[in-house]
Amino acid sequence: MGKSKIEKITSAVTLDRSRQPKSGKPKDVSFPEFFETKTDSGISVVVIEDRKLPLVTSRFIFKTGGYADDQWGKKYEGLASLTTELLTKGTESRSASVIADEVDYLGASLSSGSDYDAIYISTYSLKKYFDSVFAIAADVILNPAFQEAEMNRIKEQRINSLLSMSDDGDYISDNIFRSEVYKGSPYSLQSEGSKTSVPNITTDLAREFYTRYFRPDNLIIAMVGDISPEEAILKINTELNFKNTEKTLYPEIISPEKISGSRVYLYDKKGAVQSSIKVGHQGIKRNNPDFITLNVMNTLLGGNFSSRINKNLREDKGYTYGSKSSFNCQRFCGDFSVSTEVKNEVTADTINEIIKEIKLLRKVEAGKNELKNVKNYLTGIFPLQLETPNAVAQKVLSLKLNDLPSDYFNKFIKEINDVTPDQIHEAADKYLHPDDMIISVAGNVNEIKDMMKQFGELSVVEEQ
Amino acid sequence: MSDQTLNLEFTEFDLPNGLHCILYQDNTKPNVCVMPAYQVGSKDEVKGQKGIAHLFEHMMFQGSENVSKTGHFDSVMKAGGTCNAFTGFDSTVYFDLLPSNKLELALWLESDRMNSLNITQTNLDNQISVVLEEKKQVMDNIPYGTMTSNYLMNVFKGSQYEISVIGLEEDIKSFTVKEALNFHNNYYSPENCVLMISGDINIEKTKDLINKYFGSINKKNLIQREENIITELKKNDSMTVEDNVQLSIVSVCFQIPGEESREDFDLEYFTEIIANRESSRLHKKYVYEKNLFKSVHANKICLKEAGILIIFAMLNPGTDTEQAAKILNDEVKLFYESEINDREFERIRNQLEFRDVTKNLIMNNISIETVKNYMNFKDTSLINSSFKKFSKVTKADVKETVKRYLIDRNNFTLNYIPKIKIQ
Repeated sequence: MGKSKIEKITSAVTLDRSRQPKSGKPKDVSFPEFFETKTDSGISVVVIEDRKLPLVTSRFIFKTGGYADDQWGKKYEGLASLTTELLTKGTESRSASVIADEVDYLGASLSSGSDYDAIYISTYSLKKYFDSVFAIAADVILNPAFQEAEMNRIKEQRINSLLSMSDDGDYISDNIFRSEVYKGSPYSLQSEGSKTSVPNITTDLAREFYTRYFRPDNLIIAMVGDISPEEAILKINTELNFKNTEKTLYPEIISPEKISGSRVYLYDKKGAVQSSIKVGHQGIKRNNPDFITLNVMNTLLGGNFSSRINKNLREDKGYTYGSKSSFNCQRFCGDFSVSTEVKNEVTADTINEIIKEIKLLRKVEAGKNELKNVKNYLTGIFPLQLETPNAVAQKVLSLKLNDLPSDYFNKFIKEINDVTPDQIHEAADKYLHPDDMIISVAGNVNEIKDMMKQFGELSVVEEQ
Repeated sequence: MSDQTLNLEFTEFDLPNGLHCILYQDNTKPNVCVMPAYQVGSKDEVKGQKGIAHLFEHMMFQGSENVSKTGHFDSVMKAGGTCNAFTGFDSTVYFDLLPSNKLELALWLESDRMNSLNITQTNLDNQISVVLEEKKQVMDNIPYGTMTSNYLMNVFKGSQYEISVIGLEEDIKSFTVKEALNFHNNYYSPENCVLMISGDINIEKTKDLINKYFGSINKKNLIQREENIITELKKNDSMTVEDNVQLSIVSVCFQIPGEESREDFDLEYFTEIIANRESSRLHKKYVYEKNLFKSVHANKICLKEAGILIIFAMLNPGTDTEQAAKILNDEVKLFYESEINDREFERIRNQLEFRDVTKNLIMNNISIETVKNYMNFKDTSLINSSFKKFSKVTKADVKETVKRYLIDRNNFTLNYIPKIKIQ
């Protein structure tokens, strides 16, 4: 390891510190190349080869999730999530303990999870253990046992998790927000289940869910790291033979009800010394063509530390440690929200400032410089977001999941740079609705109730 | 199987003003990470100023001679980067992650705030508010949020590790502009800083740039540090907190030697064998088979001069807290009295090997670990050899260390129970 000294120290007294240095020539940023194909059985495969480290990740994504629970009804919300969790809890030839023991022994991970749009199963390991871990993942996907005892165990665990999560104000205000913003659509369900729905879920239902959605045409696989496309395809073709190869049928998606006039929902959080606030309304689905314009607009409004809302609430007013606005874009619908935690007494002031910033953006065109800074930020951090092969894979998978073209990220930087002040202004007008918002707050209701009446019809929510 | 999974090369040098520089070149991605780390943390705080090191870190973003309030953040972000900082007990670390053609900008920004700070009463008042909200958000307003501060207060009583980094509300509120400027003068001197630059750089050009921006910064006025005297726990102690939570937590904790000590490596095997993963002993028995715990973990809070080993279980409704504490204590005894089987020992080794390889994935993580290794242990390339140290650990080492620090010493039990009983 070289330890060296600078031999000659040049004098630096002439440095003029008042002048910000000019930057060097930027390097070309291109999205890493990836391989994609479809197997004979209909599985979409993406391979991102990166030989820097002896690591391999495999990710399996089934294009279904919490939104599909709706076909069974609210009584069974959480079905997709529990079905997913049950997969790694036993196959026809391996018990839950054997699966955990085999994976842990290799220092590897086998994880599963779900959200509204997808079910995820993934492995991560050193290259030398990849064959073993992949075999377990394939077993879990193809031959789950759906044992009664394991189902009962994870149901009890889930009910206790729900109890524990409801101690957190942010979790509660998020939940209220979701159920109101998405009212009438499958996205209003609680994808992790509720204490009333979880007991209703049975192994028979899990098996039914599995049979309907775990089919090759509904599966996307990404293989990432120290592996070639040839190796990856061979592995999938030899180890992943589905018995059920029928075409997957997808449900019709009902859109959420329109929100007219703002509505306030308060939850009395025992002992709260801050208000957990989430305000917003419906947004866009991920493959909406205005996604990039809205990304730029949101970054300027509240998307990063330098944004208008954060500067106002934190650096000017000192109301909060931080705030964030975001467009949460899912496959079939989305939402826009601003969230923050503030001291009780400024809860209403905070919401007024948020509304003020949204209205200002709709009224006055954003300055050229401000817009340029935002574009520089978004295009500059893009390569920072591609630091690991897994991060690249995640981006590619989001394309596949949302039916976006493969060259999407090759044009990304150019499209960001092409956004005009006019487009931002139009988008703000079209997609921001400061007078028709869901305002959800978990906090000390006694202290904040009166001040919250100014924003619209107010309800105190009892149960979450 | 090779014991050395990493082989990173570092270039090191000192400027005449004492600034220690570490460069790590990796040109595979067009990014650079600039990380000045100051050897000052909350353990240097005197009585009446608890929380000052962290609040001061906030003030470093409030403007310097040539950079306006929020100018640091704004400049980095509009250059297409991100920046942040974190304050620990032993050090305060700042970092800027940018496209590599903006390296000079980061050096300009960092050198300006090392050279001179511009602190106004308005900005200080503003950040005091922000930090008080931060304290609520990370501690007072979240379930079990005061756990860490209770561990510290009881396990490190009377030492400089006693109060958590976020500090005490009264002290934070009373911080003055003059004290902030003194803090800068006392600790933010080039010889008290390690500057690490990693990523897409050219070593010679980077040396010249460092010299250009940092070479002319004068040494400041480093002061005598508070002595950090850590004493063993005098007796087995316990504490129960009623919190706004629905599930109880029982935790047993022990004072252990500092990070990167031989014992620290031994205890890593212990924590992983008894808890955390599904195949660990406690999880298998009490989460899976007996259904008494919702989850069970064993972690270490690793500081330079000492640490805390914590075994904690979140209880399913109906599980008695005393019974849970007994289970945890018995398991520690059983660990010492029974054999560690080969398979579970190899499992930990495999887990550590995997963790070691993945360390190399993210530049920022390499930098954080490396500046810490230099500051705390004067061993810059420790990252390359840490897995080797893990590989050398024997079953006998683990058991001996467990006996010495867990069995033969006193411990502290901390329980959190619901204020309102679940119906």
